[in-house]
Amino acid sequence: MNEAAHEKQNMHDMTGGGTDERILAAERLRARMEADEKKRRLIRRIVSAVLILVFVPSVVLVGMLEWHDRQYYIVSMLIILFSMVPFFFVFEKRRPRARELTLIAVMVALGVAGRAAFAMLPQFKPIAAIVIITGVSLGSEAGFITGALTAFVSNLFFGQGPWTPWQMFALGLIGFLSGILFNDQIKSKWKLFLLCAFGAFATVGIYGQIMDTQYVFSAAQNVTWEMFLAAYASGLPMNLIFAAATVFFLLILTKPLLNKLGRIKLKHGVFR
Amino acid sequence: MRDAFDTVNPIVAFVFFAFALIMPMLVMHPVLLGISLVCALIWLFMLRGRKAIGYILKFVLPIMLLTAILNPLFNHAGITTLFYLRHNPVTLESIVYGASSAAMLASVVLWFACFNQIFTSDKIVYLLGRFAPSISLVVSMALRFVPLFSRQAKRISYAQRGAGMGTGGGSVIKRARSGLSILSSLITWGLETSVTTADSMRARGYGLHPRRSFANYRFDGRDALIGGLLALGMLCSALASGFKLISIRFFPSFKINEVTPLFIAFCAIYAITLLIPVIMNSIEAYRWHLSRSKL
Repeated sequence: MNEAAHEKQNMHDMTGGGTDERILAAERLRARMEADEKKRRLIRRIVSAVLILVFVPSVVLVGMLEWHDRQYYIVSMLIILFSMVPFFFVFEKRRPRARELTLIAVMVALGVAGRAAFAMLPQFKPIAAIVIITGVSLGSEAGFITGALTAFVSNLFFGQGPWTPWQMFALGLIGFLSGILFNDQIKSKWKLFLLCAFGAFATVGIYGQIMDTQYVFSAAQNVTWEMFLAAYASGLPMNLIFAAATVFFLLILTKPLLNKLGRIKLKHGVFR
Repeated sequence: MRDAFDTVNPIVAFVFFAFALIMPMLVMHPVLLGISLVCALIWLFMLRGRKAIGYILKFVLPIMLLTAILNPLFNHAGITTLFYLRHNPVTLESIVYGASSAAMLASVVLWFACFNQIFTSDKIVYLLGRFAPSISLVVSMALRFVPLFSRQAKRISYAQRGAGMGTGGGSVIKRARSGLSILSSLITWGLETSVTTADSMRARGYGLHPRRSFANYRFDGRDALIGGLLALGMLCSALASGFKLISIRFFPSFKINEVTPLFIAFCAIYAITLLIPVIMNSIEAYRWHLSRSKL
């Protein structure tokens, strides 16, 4: 049974075999929510376009002209900060419901507690797995917010640093992508395998690469390809541990967590 | 003892840290980097005492060493070749640059170490709440959920033990399995709690009015004084770099501005600006000393 039919059936059951009008009203509500979603996407696109087409080039330009070029560190950090603004801006502007906020807060707390629980094993942490599952179940926007805030809040415990914006962006991006690439119908082994493959790629290819790039930009003025290769090579063992942890936690957490989140979504009508 | 800078208005404190963090990144001038490094170190020792030594040895020194070594190895720009390493020139300029960027990274990390001591979560929530109320609400709720979860996990564990599903002993697999069952009920409980919390928030009128966060911070005369000093320091920095009082070039050859009286004056202003917390602590300690000697 697909989702819409399920919803209809639900509505039917709740109203005790109610009239068609109620079903029609539910349909109308759904259509309005979809229109809202489209509008939100449009706003996000416009804001991102303005930031990416106007702000980022102007930062690069100022960096080149005023700061005598090659201020890679501050320029790259400003670009990272700017590229997070559209997500937070749209989230803030649409005045999210209380239930969405509390649900996101619980997922953030889970990620933070998970990082703290496995703190004695270096890089072996469930943070990315929880962010991916959140993105898969609650959608790309919630995925981004959860990822970025998990990085931020866990750094309140483990120490903020110049790496904070980069971690926020990397984890947010992972949550965002998992929301776009997967829906919460991960029933077959094949789909779970695909999700784990994405998890491994996301930790090495996205998180690891962004964090290693951050190091190169912070340390060097004349950035060369050899430097990037050296940084990636030296970061690889840590990234591989992180990837193994992510795949491990995805394997054991995906099914139960998706079930629980699905139940909450169905029962309380949130994030649909 | 509570740090004197801890009581400063968070907005002023944030501007101070922004200044302290951005200056080394923007101007990698060896003299200014040295000043910044020393100021951060003094304050960190005031804040954390002996613990600061371990932090520096374990965390700051490795980053510095790596950066100082990597730069000359990979960067062959510069005209003063010192020697050849496997047919690659190692230049004086890239060694100087490596040392400077190591100092820059170290001072940024040290200032962040001070930041972490001063900017507790309540201050961050207060600052965020002004321009991103929803985000700051999520942050503060997540911070509250973390201890709540660990308490509930303990409760679930006791309950399961009471029901005869021991969680204390057994083989690794058995313990892992019981741990997972605790985690499972914890997650269910957490998600259900989140909805209950949300309903309770709605019942109290969340979303009807713009939300204001609890704030225990006033903007008093002392904050104005510190803010004024900060503004002066920033203005001087902008002027100094605008009038080429401070200038630095690493490649192709190392070139630095001449040491003029004005430059020394600027260095003094920069140092005093960065030493604001240290000065405040010293005044506080002196007052304490005075009031004690009167007894």
